[in-house]
Amino acid sequence: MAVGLEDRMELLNKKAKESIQVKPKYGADIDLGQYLNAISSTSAVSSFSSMPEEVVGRLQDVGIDPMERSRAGSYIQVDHDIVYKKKFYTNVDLLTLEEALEDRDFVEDYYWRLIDVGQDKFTAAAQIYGHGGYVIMARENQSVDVPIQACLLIKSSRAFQAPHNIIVAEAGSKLHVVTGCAAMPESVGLHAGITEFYVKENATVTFTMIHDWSRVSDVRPRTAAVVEEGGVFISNYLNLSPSGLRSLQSYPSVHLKGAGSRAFMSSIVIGRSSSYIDLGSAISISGRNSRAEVVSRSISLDNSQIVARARIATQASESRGHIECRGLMLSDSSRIWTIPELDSTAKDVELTHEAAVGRLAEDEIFYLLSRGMSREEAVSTLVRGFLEIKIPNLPPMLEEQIKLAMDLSTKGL
Amino acid sequence: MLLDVRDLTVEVDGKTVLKDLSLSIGFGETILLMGPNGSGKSSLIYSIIGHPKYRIKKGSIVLKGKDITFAPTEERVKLGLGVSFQFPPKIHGVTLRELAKRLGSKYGKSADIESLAASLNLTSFLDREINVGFSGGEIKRAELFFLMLQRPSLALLDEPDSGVDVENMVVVGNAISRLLSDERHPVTEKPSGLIVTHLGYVSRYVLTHRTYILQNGSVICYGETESLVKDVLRHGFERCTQCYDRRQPSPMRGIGK
Repeated sequence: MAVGLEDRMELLNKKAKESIQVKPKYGADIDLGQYLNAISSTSAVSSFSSMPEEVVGRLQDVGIDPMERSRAGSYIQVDHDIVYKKKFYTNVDLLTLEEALEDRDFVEDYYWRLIDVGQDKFTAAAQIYGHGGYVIMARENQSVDVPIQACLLIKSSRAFQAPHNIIVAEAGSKLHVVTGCAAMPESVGLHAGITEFYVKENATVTFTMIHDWSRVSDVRPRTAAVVEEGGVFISNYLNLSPSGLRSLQSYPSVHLKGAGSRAFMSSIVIGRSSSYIDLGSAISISGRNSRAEVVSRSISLDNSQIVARARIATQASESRGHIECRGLMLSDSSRIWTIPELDSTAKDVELTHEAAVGRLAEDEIFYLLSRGMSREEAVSTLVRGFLEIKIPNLPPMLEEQIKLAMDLSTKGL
Repeated sequence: MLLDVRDLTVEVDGKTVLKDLSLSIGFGETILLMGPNGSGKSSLIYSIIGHPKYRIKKGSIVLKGKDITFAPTEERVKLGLGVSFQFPPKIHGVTLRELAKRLGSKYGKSADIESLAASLNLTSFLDREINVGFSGGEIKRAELFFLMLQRPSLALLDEPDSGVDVENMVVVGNAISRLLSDERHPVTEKPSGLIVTHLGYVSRYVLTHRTYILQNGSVICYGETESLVKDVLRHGFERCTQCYDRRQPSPMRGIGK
């Protein structure tokens, strides 16, 4: 490592150590001590067929294709260990974080540039104790038509998983990334992945996440993106966790920095058992003539609690933003709290939001009954309809995958 | 008898909306139901299909010989009831095509979705969410579309002609006529219809067996459609009240006779 780079690393480590007790702004606090001692290791394999069957099964649950059909590359991390990494396209680079950090310019330009390492104990712990993470870089003016797939799996008990992922789309490039995050059943674990996106001039990044945690998972990802002039960032988050999860808190933020840039962030979350979920999407606009849209759907079951945050703030003229926040309560002992925020310091802007929380409308159920459905069919049709979101620029294959995941996890609601 | 409604008294939120109402429809018969706003026309349809808000206090509803007075809606639909609602709700996230496919596979007309939609000028609506952003006339056409796939033995049509523009009146009229002339075997299953109409336009397209006039939740008069519709359009429903008040002896009293 070159001189200067070490200085920056030292500074980051120092700040991390100072911040290891900083309580998170949102969501429940977690005692890190219980997670940081467990060290396990899974050895790397050269193909999916060498992975244990139950692991491959979990990967498939979250949209990872072990046959790697229509995939530009794959990255699989289990707990701390990078188990598999391969790419099939030459116009995109796929590295581990450790490999990427060898390059001084990379560290200078992209490492902890969008997220403050001292933000809270989770960012701090990720810097000190984290391992791995994928780095994906689409080359200038190159269009990677099929997605790169990445999976982060928690397998060991008491695992602390904090990969640091960085995605860079060079000017004029196009990139799809599909990530699946999962935990093996009953694996007590804390996931606190860091992800930074750099979307350059006129580049487009579509990021689709399918999460399926275990009943005893705590999840604290930290995510941020910056979008330059004419760039487009589309992020779709789908958390269906059919067996529930203990807690999730995440508030990804996107900065629309360049003129004419756009961001679309959607999230779909189903709370089960006694899950505590605090999930948001924030977009700040400083590039004129930019567009921001946040769409969220929450369904609460059992004793779950969901806080759905959304924030669009602008200081740029001719910018527009819209928040659509809907919550559906399917149990009497659950809670959904939506907090949409709009903030403008420019006058020729248009910021709007609509939010609604409630149960299924009896007149809609009655209508479907009168069309020959059973009550059960009517309810599942309406629940499925509630989750339907029109996602722009989504390849049909991914659309199918999302539909499939939703069908599976709304079965029997 | 296909449908026999006897002495029906119904309340909504403690308010009486139908009072001692009796009416019957034979197999293959179509009847028209007219009356001023608030006379109970829609309430009768909701009571027959079994909307939970419509509490039956007295009387009975018998369909195909089965007492359905307190039966759940699911059961009534299974017996062959179908409704075209005046104000159906929006169903977000569910497209016309999705519901049509379900109805098609359930009632055996799956191949006809495209051509049926075309016949109702609904082709461009197939992939839209049900009733979201639809105009009054578009809602009516979508309701008929579903009902035609559902193939009920008794179609309850609540104001199928209101809010429909002149061009589409022919489309709607022909659709209702097709819905009710649907040829089935045995002949006893020829569909019947109960059509609520405000102005009676629909009677130009559909052959009806008789017309009932409702006032304050009761049938005050019934008779042959053509002369009744003509009189109502000329004199308004006010005359019906006078006729009723004079307590003419014949049960088949028509106004102006």
